[in-house]
Amino acid sequence: MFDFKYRLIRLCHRGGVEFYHVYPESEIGYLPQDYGDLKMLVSHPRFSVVSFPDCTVTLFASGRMLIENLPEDSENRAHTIIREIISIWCQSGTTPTHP
Amino acid sequence: MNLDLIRKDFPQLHQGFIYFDSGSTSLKPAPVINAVKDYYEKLSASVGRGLHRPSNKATFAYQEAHDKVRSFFNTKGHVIFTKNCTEAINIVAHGIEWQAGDRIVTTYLEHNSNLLPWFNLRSRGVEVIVVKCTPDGTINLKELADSITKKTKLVAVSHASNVLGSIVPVEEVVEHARKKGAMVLVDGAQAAPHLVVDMERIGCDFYAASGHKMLGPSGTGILLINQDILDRLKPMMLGGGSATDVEFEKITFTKGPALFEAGTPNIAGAIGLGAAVDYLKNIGMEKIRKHELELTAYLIEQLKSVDEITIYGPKDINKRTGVVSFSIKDIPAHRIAIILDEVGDIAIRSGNHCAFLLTHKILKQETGTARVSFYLYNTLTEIEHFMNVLKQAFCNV
Repeated sequence: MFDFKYRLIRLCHRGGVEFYHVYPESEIGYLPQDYGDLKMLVSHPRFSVVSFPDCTVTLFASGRMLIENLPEDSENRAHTIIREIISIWCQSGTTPTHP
Repeated sequence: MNLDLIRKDFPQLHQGFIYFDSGSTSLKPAPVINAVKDYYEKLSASVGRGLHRPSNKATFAYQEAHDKVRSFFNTKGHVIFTKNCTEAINIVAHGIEWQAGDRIVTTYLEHNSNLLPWFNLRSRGVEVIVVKCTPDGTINLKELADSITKKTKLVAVSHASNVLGSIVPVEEVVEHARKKGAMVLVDGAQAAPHLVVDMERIGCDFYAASGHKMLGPSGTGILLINQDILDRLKPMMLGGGSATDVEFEKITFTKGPALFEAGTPNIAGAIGLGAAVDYLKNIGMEKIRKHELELTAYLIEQLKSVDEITIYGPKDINKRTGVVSFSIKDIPAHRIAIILDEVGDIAIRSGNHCAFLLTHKILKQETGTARVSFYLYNTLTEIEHFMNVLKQAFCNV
């Protein structure tokens, strides 16, 4: 797996639910079309919305992501989700342009 | 109003990005940027301290900025420069001598800046009454009037909502407060940049505003204080400039508004704010208001044409500023914002807008709303692009 460097920004949370913004240090430049066992909720040429058991993630070719509706204080879980997504990205047949 | 000429003054508009987030902070025109740059290149010195000429010139420019702001708001009262609107409100919250049993009346419409400083006083026995508003942002003025009792020391209301854009009839609020002898603070963060604000006509005791939302530099805010009230207020901070003489036994405090600007102030920011006020005055607040109403009406009309979209705020366009909050089905607001940014190079604000009581208790939007907020430099063409991106990304249109 390539070394995906990013900033994880916790957004406002409310009622025990949190959103995380993943901001990559360098652009990936490719958006996978196949997310394996994960259900793709929205497929758009410029972004995908993917369902995880405990949250929803919006992904962009830039490598930016929005992780939605995680329980409170789920920073570690957010990092795990990001690793999982990057693993899918790597297996999707195209190597990211800026590893 | 020559929009092409105005847009040329804003360097950030030429980066290929649509900026619909002026409710958070405005872009800065070249005269403001140049005023700040000029200070650092030609005038850099502390104010009110030195006898050397750079200090004199900086002092005069700093004082002149106060005068410009005083004239802009048509007030005979005092002008205090702060780092933002939040600090301006906190100066009042810390400055009034509260007694247990005092009452503050505020509303559900408020930004945290005009709510938390008052909630914080509850630990000192101050009672805070929060008056409800309707989902379109109308405050129940009868309920507000009924909440003001002889024990009410302060009524604190927004001039315009940062979420709904609804304009509050602050003159009426002042009228109700005066009947019971209460002071009135108006949070003008969302009104001062967009409306003609006449402090004398409003008749409030305190008017707080954000310099950085009205074309001024970051780190600038304004607190206007009615002439008769200043002596009843204690400074939140003390330091350089606060005293004319200090002994162990006795401190002689500075008289006037300078007492509330302790320490070396944001001189460059203040001078930039003066340039911002000049810029707005030169264009004319009436013209800016008219332009923003045109943009707002067009956007609302376009949003209404899409079934999946819910628009918040007053139906009567004349009762709102250039702020339009909306939601799309059950899509979280943050998702709307990040997609507009990535796909359309459009900056909007999303979430609760620091107005939790309003978004959750009144609008029932747990993830908040998506918010477009206009200013004088926005165009109808930008709205057309925005609508195209929005429809392509979210709607089956």
